[in-house]
Amino acid sequence: MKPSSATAPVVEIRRATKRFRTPEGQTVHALAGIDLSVNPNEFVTLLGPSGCGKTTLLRTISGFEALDDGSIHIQGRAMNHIPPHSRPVNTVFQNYALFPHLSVGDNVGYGLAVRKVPRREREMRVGEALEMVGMNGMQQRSPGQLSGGQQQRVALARAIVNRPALLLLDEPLSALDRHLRQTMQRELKSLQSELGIAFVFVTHDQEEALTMSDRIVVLNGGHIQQEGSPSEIYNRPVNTFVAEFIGESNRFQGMLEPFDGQFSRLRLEDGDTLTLMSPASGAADALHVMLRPEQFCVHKPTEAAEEYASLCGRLAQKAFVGRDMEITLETASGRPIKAALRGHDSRTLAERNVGDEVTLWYATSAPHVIAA
Amino acid sequence: MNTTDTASSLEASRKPRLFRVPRNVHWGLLGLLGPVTAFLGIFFLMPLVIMAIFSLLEPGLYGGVVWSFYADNFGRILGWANGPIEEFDIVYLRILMRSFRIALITVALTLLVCYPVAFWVSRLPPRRRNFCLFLITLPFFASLIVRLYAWVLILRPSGFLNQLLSTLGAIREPIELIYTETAVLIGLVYIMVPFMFLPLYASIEKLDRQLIDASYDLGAGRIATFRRVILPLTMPGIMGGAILVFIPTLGNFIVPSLLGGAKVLMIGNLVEQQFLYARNWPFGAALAMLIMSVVLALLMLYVRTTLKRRSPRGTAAKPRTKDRAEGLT
Ligand SMILES: Nc1ncnc2c1ncn2[C@@H]1O[C@H](COP(=O)(O)OP(=O)(O)OP(=O)(O)O)[C@@H](O)[C@H]1O
Ligand SMILES: [Mg+2]
Repeated sequence: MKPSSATAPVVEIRRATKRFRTPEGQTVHALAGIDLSVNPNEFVTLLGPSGCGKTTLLRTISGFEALDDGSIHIQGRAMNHIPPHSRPVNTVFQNYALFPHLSVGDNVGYGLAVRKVPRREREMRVGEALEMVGMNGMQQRSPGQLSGGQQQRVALARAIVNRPALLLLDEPLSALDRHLRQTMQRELKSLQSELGIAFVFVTHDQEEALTMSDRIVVLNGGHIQQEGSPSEIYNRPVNTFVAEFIGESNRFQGMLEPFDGQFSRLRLEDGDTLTLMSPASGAADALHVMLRPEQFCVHKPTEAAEEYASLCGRLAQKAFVGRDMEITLETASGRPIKAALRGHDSRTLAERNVGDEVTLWYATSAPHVIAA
Repeated sequence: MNTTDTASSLEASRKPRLFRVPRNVHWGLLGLLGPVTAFLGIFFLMPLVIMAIFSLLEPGLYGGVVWSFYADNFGRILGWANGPIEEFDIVYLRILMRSFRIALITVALTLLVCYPVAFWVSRLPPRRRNFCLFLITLPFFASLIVRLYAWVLILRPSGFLNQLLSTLGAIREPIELIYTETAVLIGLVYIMVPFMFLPLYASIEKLDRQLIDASYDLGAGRIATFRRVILPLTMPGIMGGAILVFIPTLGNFIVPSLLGGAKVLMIGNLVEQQFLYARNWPFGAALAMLIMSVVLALLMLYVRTTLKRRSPRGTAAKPRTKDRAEGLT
């Protein structure tokens, strides 16, 4: 191995463009100039609403779709004219796509058999791969005799047995029930770090994306909206789309008032104000500001109390969802504000009724200014 | 645990009723199946039985049968001389072998024609797909004889094909097409294509395209994917079509008599001759019985091999629920 290969990206995608003609004669820009690289041993998640181009991007990497423009390099090799079966990439399909006429062992050994790996080595590697997904000893079963979760594991084993440079997973967990999905999320993550294979994982479940990924790529309309670590994406969304798409958020839009030495205030269209600790841009522009529901509290903290500001309103809705009390507050101007409170705050609110006046506090450093 | 207990107790409480219900169903079933069974028994099984008996009787001198046991009908098929003017000759066996060969080639050719077309049709958008299926069944609307005479017009020395070829300058003299085995094969393939196409199409349409993608993804090229995934998964359609083509082709006598003339006899012609012209019913019956038993034997062989291949190698439903529980923990 060359010394550089440890740090060189496994996949490098430049200005990837893909257009589809729909039967109605329109053109869909499924990929509109995507730049993305994936490093070795990285868990990258493609996240976005339905139709944003996630599957298309995976299929161009695996070779099932040809790019209209741009390039894809895998391990430094240009892939534009390399057919799917010659790419060092394997895919875990959404509904598993196990071969129904082959046993579990033959399914897992398919890639090895095609590459003429000798039988004994094949059996050994199939056993190892099944062992990794906790399915060893089931070689003789037919896929029809497996549960959904087991089929999922076999599909995984069938892909990793080939030791690909990159594993592509297109919503592999969406067909599983919630409990099994969480189990598989944990297993997938540990499998990935154990194998040291780069994963590109597609989901439209943001929670899944946040818990599993090293890096999240948020797509919309064939464009990358933002890429970054889960906490970056969650806490510092660069635009309103990402802010709205990931997690719950309260979005405020208003004109910035001049900095008064300690705070600046955002005057909202309907008369409310939001207090911010000195924002980076001093310009008196129209600004978007985001506050997450969990950034509110009911009891004003005693420490650094001067750094907190409040919003008042009537309690419009409340719902106890286990760990959190989720409420909607309606300010005097009728603006709804979502808040999620826990612990002492949650218990306090449990005693309030819908219609009561409630004051919510937030740290003035909490509101996140969105660039555009 | 609780749920399974209640489920089993529910089942137990229902059991006595389950025993009562079928009794009523039984009569209804008998009423439904009885007439059909009687109809088939009389009009399908009886003629077969009569033929089976006839094949073991002595042919009468001027047609009809003599009611005494006579094994020579089968002996004659194998080549033994029948009467003073004949010598030991395996002419019938030769015709039988030719029929098998022609039937097998017909199966192979229809398969070759239909497989790619079925694949192509299954990928069309639904409306055009249905139109293509309609086109495939279109020949059924016209009489077989008329369609075969059309082939006579095409293939004969002064026919369309020869005229076309000579206008194009490809040939000087008309080529001999009609009354050859090639002509018989053309005719048989022509009439048998729909019978191959429909079962083939049914199994190809069911084929999950994602399995083909999965095969490519795992490193298999086009040929390997065809051999390892597409072919095995469409095998039921291939075998179904092969059976539907092979059996009627083997017994076909219209095509060889119209397009093969007297030169390319098939076993069906032989049977026809024995019944209609030679008035030797026992020999005709023996020939028919032989074809039928060979076909039945082949079918049974096929059924047995596929049953063996499809029987689950692992264990059935019971351990499955246990594994699912394990998977959850
Ligand atoms: N073969 C095709 N022909 C025409 N349009 C296509 C084709 N494949 C995808 N598209 C279009 O390209 C866009 C992106 O599709 P894609 O399947 O990549 O979405 P996705 O992000 O995977 O969505 P989902 O979350 O629903 O799976 C969609 O608008 C889709 O309609
Ligand atoms: Mg998709």
